[in-house]
Amino acid sequence: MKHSCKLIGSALVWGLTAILWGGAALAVQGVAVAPPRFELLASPGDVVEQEVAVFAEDAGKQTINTAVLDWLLAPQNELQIIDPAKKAVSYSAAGWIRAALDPFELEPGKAVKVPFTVEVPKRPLAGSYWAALAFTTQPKPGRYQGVSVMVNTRVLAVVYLTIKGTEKPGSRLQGVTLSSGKDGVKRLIADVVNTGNVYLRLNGELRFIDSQGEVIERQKLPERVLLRDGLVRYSLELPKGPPQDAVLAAIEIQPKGPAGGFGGAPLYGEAPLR
Amino acid sequence: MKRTIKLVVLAGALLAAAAMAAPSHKSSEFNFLFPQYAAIYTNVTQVNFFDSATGTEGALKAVGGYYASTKTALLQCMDDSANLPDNYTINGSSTTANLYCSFVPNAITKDQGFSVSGYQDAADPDTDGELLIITNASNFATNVSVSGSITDASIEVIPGYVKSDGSVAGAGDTTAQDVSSAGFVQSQAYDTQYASAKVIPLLFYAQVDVLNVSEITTAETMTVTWGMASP
Repeated sequence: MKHSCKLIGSALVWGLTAILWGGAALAVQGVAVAPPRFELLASPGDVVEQEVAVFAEDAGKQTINTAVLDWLLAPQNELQIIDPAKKAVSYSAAGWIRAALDPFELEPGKAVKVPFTVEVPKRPLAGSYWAALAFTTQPKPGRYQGVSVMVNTRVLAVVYLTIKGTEKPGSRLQGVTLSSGKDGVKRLIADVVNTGNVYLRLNGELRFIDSQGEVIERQKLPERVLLRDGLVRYSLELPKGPPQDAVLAAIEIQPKGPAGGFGGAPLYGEAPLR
Repeated sequence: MKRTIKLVVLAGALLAAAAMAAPSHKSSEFNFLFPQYAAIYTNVTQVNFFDSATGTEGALKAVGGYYASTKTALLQCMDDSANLPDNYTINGSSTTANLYCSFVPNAITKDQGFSVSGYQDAADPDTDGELLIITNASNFATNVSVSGSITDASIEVIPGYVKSDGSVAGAGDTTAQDVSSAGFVQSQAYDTQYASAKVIPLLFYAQVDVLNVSEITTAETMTVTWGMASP
């Protein structure tokens, strides 16, 4: 299986960047990938071929370092990037990814295609595994005196691999409560726990309900990823003036499984506002 | 006894006022021809806190902290710091206060993306930091990590964070996190008027132990790596 990207017209990337930065003549560095994630299904023993495009517009000629790294998401969507050589991560697919990891030159306007394969072990496996190809800019030569901080940028091409036919999606919503912080802001707190063996993509909405049971306001929730054995914590700041007649805040989440597949039953929870 | 000079060298929100003055664009005008993409850009490659470190061991050499909303004021603060005599006494009494020069935008609004007052005039690739996330994927998450060590000083790096009213917290009301031993994360960002572009305000915050400044006789560097993914 081979994924292909149409590599045309990527100058628009920098076009947007330039407009957003007001066209200022700044020394820009950066790196981009397309696509940003691979959601693969395979069987034990399969070898899956893929390709990711790496590009950066008008950032000057850059040297890009490549690595295969693990990553996790903490409950409040904090991305943690982990070197598999330093720490073992459960359900890591880092050892399955094969790619040329030599640094390469990236010229503005010219995408570099980086092929890689995912070699799924033959041993019995079930559920989802994941890792990422990481592309990192390298510090440019400069004048270093005194105390200096060098700044790099890194983008991940996330790779999920789910063993076909073994998916058991499951999740549970728990601890839906209303909380007042030190700042006086009220928040709806809700935890979603993964009870299955695959990652889930969570979307849904926050609803305000009146005493008649009518939904009088809806807010879309940001998409979150719930990793295997993971926990997603929603901390939803309530508007300063929630709808006057609202007596209940409710949260409903629709989980989706790998590659948009079945993710289990919808999740629902509520907390009284008064 | 805490003896520090704190230099908040960079503060930012990501869009210059000039950019905000640009005509509104529909997101469709920026449809990349990649089906999906994720990008991270910054205009900072290097921040120098001291071109040449000077000082006397055991002596506090700093100025009282104040906010500077222009680069000129920031540089003046730093110059003042460098030119103070040894054994400078703060407020006539103590040398234990935390002292710093800080540079923050004085007004940030998000009516149409971000506009920043008191910032655009100071734009300088050597001293101002901006981070831009561009992705049309359904989500994103960010990470920042620090590697390398500075033996005679510690450096803290924090992202600015966005308050509920849209303003950006500065060094005065946020706590620096020591990232010298472990990375930390920042996931807050604002949408801009461009559907695929998000902005993350940044603060770079260095804490240099004055006790050891005099020992900094050679270049010492740390590397900050901003990362993003659309998982």
